[in-house]
Amino acid sequence: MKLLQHYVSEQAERRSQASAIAWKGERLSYGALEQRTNRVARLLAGLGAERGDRIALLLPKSPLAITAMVGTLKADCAYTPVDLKNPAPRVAQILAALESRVLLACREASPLVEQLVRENGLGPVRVAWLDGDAPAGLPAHATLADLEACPASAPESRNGDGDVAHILFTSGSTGVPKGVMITHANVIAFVEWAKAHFGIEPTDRCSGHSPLHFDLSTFDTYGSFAAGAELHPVPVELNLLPHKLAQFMRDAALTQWFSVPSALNHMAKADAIREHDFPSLRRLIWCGEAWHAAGLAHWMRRLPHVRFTNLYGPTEATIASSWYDVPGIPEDETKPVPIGRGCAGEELLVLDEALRPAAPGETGDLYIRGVGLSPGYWRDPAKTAAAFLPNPFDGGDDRIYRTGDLARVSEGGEIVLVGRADTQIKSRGYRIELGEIEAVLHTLATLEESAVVAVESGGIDGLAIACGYTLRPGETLEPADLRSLLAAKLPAYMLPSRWRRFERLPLNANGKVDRKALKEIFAATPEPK
Amino acid sequence: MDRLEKLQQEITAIFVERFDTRIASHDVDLLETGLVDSVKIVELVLELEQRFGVSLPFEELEIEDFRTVPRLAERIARTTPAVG
Repeated sequence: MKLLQHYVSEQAERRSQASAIAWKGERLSYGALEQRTNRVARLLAGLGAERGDRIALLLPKSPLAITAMVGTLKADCAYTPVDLKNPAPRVAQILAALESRVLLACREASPLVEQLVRENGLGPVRVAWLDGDAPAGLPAHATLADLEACPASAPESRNGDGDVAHILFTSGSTGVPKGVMITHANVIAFVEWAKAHFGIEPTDRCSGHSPLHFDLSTFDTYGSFAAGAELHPVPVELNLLPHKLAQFMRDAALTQWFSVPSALNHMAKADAIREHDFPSLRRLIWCGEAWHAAGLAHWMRRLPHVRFTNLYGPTEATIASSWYDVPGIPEDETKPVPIGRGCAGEELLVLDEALRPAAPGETGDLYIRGVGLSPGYWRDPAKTAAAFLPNPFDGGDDRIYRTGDLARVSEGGEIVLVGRADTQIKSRGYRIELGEIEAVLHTLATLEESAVVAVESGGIDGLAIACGYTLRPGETLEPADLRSLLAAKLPAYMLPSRWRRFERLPLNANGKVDRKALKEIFAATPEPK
Repeated sequence: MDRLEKLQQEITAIFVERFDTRIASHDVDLLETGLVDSVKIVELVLELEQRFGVSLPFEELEIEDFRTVPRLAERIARTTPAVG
């Protein structure tokens, strides 16, 4: 039986001097990573964390955060990386849902912790500051000195691979984020397939582009450790300037790149990639949302030495469930790139409303079954039962997950995505439930009515979130003020970019907001120039 | 009002007009708060170029240029000859 932390321990035993993580000019060896993660596990145990506890990580992307992740696993606990850019009320929601007893933090998180203490109080939660002394005036149950005093030998572990390794939160349509539980076995199944399929070797240098609270980062981290390769976490701020991001790829001589397509489009748009750029690069993998064929072709023409692979899969099915190796530069740039076929142990099913296989070429609902399926949503049996259904083709306890994506099977047997069955959208790889934004809008007393729709935009994202609203009599609220109110409760990537105040919102025959009409109004009004 | 202050005022106005965003003060960290992100930065640079008649090639920009409104104003001031 294998657990995720064993990837680190095995490398530490065999190649302790080999570099595990490269970060801002420094390298952390597998041997050092093994010792540091052991110390984190012992610190957690000393703070009272018990097997099965959920540990919230308030740490920005860094070797320290990755150390905290693996250390948490060694303490037989599950971790949740928290985005420090999240507004405090949303973080408070996540902490409350997890009932975390211990929080691992660093100085960069101190403004957020301070706000959490001021607004909600942290109750019995114990806080460990992993990068130094405790910031003045904030709760501190352990500091870097305590961490360094912990023994570096491996602690005992009782976990099995069916135990939860991490809980990742995604947008929930009712206004509360949903926690997706992912087990060791879920991740290992994908990582082992990927290691073999991509041929990842100890000599590889793998990108760590995704934020750690994002499902895709799981492959960055454990895919690299499983092969004994070197992980190169990408500093988040490099995403702002495409030329800096491209320079990072060159300087690190990366051999494998994995990201959402928006980062790649951004570089293409800014003309940041040269002919035959990144000579060390062998494989470029994208996931998280569809990449239009024109963007893919732009990259493929410049990098004839690189193999391109599309991965697809929701967080609930762990990292990715299907793969498609692009055979050549797309000739027809209007055609969608297929998501391909199931990875080892995964099956993609296109079913009709009665859960019967849709005819080839017919659009149906896309379901996934197999080794990647999450046990469900954290403490939410109702949502779990609604999304994870008994497999209708199997009388046993096998399950299928309803992705909410619409798909069809192509003539060649490949799956092609067609759209969504609901109002979830993708923006830079993030899943956004428009209903979650509306749920927050509905809490604002100054608004009479409000609705959020996704409209086509010429930008990198392809989609813009647009908000139409009406005010209660006598109220005045400009879009910029409304945006500020929303920004206090929602992460930046969920904020609408287009706003319009109406005297009345368009209604349909049932007296409900007519979203289709609203969409058309936004589509017909060009973005302000 | 000196030139830098004027630039700062205009940049603040761009955020309201283009992004429906009010920047509370000159200390606001535009990057930490996500007010400037990878998508908006492209639009912002184009708008700045148009409005101030300057050229801001991406490869010559530094991330820190976008940290605050005053930093952005200084960056633009460096590209154009001071007038008035």
